[in-house]
Amino acid sequence: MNRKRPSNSILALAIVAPALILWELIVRATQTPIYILPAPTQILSTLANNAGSYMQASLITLGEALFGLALGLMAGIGIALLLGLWPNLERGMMTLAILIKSTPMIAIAPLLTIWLGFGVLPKIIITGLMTFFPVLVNMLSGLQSANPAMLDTLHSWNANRGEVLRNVRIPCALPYLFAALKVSGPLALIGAVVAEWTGASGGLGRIMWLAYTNLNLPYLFAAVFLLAAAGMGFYGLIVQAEKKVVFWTPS
Amino acid sequence: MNISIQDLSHTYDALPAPIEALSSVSLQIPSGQFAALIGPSGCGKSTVLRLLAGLLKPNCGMIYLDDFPPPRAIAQKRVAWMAQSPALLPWKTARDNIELAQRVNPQPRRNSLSSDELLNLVDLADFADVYPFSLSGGMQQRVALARSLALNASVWLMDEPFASLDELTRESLAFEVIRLWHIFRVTVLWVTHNIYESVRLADRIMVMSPRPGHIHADIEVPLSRPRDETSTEFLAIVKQIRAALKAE
Repeated sequence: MNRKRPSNSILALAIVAPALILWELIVRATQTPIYILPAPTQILSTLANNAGSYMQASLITLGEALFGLALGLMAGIGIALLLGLWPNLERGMMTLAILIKSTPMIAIAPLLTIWLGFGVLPKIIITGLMTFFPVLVNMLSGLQSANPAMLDTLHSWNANRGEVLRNVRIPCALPYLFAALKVSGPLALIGAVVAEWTGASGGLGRIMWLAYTNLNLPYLFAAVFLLAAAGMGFYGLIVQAEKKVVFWTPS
Repeated sequence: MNISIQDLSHTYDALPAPIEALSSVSLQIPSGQFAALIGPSGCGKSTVLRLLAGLLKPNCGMIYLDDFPPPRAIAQKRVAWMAQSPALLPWKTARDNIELAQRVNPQPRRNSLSSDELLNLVDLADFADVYPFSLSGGMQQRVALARSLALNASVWLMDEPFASLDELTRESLAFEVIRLWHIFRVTVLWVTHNIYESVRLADRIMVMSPRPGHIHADIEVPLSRPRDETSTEFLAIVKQIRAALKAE
């Protein structure tokens, strides 16, 4: 049981590093022009030379992603709890949620920019809209798949709906909520970037758009690297939090 | 608390055809009696308990706990129901699980024992702050037992509570229940499919037959406790129940 295993980050590095080296070698061997595909070393040096502006842009994008995710979480959990208490509302509410879910965000994002300007607010709203659906669907199925034996026990005490929700349904839904977060966390970054792409005064999406229109690929890839790293960071934090919160499930 | 059931029938909606689980069951259990309900699986004995515990509504027939229908008795937490699964909340310690039974639908005018006293009663004082997943199956059922005691109910409905445990643990827990029954002086309806267990525990044994469930024999157990399982009187009753189960 206690056999030592290489840590996950070392394992990930062992996979990623050879891929990067291969990428570097191919680009050099074929002498691919920089405006088609820059080599990893060129990307990393771009990143290092512009560390300040990338740092600033990352903070903006991460902030938008976090606030948007918080918004999506609150909306998703709130609606799921509402439907947990009043199941009759489920069909109407889910129709509405699916309507929002199936509207392409790429179409709404420019509209929100026109209405609300180039600031962070439209990005937070887009991120919220993108992240709330996985949270709602998972949380709801978590609330509905509470352990029947536990529910029977609470019912045999004549517990009211609120007591059942608080003591059994919500704790039973927590593993489902974390499954949703693993989807919604990285999705929040995509939401923020997509929203920035349609017009922003700052952020990684803005940098990517500028780099793309100037065909400055090292700049574009540097932002992609940062986003990938941030996505992994989000995911790692969620996994750590899950271990702490849902301590009773066998890992 | 007296249990009185008259002409109780119950049918489950099921596909392809509804299942008739109980057909005109009538029984009276006087206050303080330890009664057992025995029968093969699927004979409707769990249904009787779930109806008494208010977890199901009967299709027809009457149930009274003293003078109240089950929902009234449940609302006052006069009935403790316990099943094969301990159904402890895994995110709560043993003590918190017990206290939850007191906090949910609280009955402040009826004083019950404290969680520490209850843990003492089931011999788990040292495990108050342990989570269920660190307890053995037998210990989990002890916690569930303490949780039922926390209701300070007048009726214990026990649906094969120890059936998933090994023989030795099951026997020792059954003796615990007898000891606690002597302390609390409640009415017990104990569902089982184990003949020896029923004769070991009960004052009276009702034998049920399936499809649809009905009570087929009602046998008194006039033995004093503790009971000697090798005595001829004990074995005679075992034989009598076995014959009743075979006869159907």
